[in-house]
Amino acid sequence: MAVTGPVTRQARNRLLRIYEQMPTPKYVIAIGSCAISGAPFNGSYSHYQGVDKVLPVDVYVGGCPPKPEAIINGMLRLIEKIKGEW
Amino acid sequence: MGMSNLNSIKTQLKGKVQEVVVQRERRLIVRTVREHLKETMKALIALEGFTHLSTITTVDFGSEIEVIYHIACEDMLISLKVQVSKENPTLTTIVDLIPGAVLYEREVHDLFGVKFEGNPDLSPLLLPDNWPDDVYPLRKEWTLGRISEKMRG
Amino acid sequence: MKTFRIPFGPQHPALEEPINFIFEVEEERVVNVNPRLGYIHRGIEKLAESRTYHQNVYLAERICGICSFAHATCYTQAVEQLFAMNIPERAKFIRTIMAEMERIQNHYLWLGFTAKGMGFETLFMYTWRDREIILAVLEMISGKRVNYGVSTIGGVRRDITCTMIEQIDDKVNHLENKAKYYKKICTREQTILKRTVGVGILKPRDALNLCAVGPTLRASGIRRDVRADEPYAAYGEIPFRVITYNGCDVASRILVRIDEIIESIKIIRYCLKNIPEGSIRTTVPRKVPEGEAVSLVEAPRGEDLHYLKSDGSDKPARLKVRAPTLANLPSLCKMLIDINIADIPVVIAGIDPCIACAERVVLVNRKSKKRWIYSGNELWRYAEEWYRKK
Repeated sequence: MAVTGPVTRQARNRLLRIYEQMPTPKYVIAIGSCAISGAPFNGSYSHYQGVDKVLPVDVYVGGCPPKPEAIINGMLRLIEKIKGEW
Repeated sequence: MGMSNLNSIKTQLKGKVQEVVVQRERRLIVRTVREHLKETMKALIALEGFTHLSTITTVDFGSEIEVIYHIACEDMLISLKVQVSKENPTLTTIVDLIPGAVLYEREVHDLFGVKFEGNPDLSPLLLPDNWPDDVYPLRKEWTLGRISEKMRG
Repeated sequence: MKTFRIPFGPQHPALEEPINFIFEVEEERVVNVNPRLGYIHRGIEKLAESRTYHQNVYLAERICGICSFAHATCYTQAVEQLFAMNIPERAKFIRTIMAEMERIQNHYLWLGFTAKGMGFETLFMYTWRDREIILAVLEMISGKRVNYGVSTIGGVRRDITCTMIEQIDDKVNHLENKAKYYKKICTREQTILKRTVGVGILKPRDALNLCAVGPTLRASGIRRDVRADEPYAAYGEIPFRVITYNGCDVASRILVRIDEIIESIKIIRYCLKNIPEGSIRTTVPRKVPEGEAVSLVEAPRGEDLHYLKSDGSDKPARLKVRAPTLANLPSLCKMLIDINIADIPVVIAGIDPCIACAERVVLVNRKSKKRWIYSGNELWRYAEEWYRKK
């Protein structure tokens, strides 16, 4: 599952439900600074400071927003992880 | 904006408003009281060209909440200001005059707790389903720290 | 007659606001709609009160990825109004060029997205390929494809050099030819016409009463555009047309946007030819004079409003943002009444929401409580099948 953008309180339960519905093995890739840490909306009342406060994350792709090349790189890192290369 | 236009606005609003001030080019501020809100709104709509409500803004002044209706036409933008007390933040709805106000009133109710009497639907628009009833995030007394403590508790 | 309640949404990660609609349907027709927002509510207005004016430029840009320049410009204009200052002429032209390029990339994105919603994958691929050209130009000027970081309080942070001007000229000529070609397709291709002509009607009186903005309003024949009504940046000096069509349907909205692409290209050409020499920025103090300001900008989706109140310190007392999509939601709800379920994705796409069309549709039979789920793709396929049989 690729999560782009911040996880708001309203979206949290739906996000968890989608994660539970995923068949194993499951992987989560957090794309963008908002998904990684909530920045630049840090401190807001309406969302969690990063996807990893809600779900376990396997790969983080930084950027605000990340360039397409960065996202592709993130996917490739995920494939390496799935293959057990790290 | 033309002087004739400004004069006709002042004449039309006489008796209903407290003041009409030209803030800068194309910006007019009109201040009225809660009881005259609807009449003032009707008078502005009747003046040719005032048909577009851009949004409803709200500002927290401590014990009072100021509600500002931004109404536009081709020549200028009028900020119609009304103050309500925090103890009893109610205003009459304007959705019967301007149907497009429906979501703006809902947003103001969500974030500031202002009740619009006569609005058929003030259900939450922006805040999550499990948000506590008495927390209005954009009011000054609800600082970010205080809100996160309340949500944790 | 049996009515069904269909929850529609809310997830779509890439755009500003995923939205939930609850539709009540009878047979194949929609009879009632209720929107529910909040899935991507980030509390920006509250955050803005605890950051300085300069920090808030960064925040304003991130209100929306696609209209980021419009929001940043609207915000910086509001601060400049509080300072009662004029920015340098060259900065005004650069802001205009960037704003129009953002409009072009937004409309190409939208055209592709709407085409996909109609099952026209080829047009989607073509328009998004063309959009890459304008994104490359924006990256050349600002270093980024979205959230450019160009507008700042007092002017702009990046200049447009002579080499850049030549390259931009070349690219926009190419895009203009493409836009004309897509206009021909959208006015002659039967698959598009069948799905868009007479669909999603918004009469002029309704558009005005429901306070619609942008291309949605202009496709109902109302000539309203902030660039013409209240010229900002360099728009007061540039001759351009406000595009309107009278069809009041999705087809008209498509044509308004394609014509706006062509008009934006003309504006860019004029700016590149006439851009004055000079500085691009005036420095401003940290503390902003007391007062309030309302700034209006014509974002690609419509009128964007920022209200700013200052108490004389270096942090705003209040920032209010009204993005164009919120203004178009009541009109959208009106347009959705009495249409076929199959038309829902196209009509929603028609207002160019800063929220995508739904990810999932759940159909519920109120009486038997039986539920079906359609994913976004399944709904699109359902719509295509429905139209093929018609």
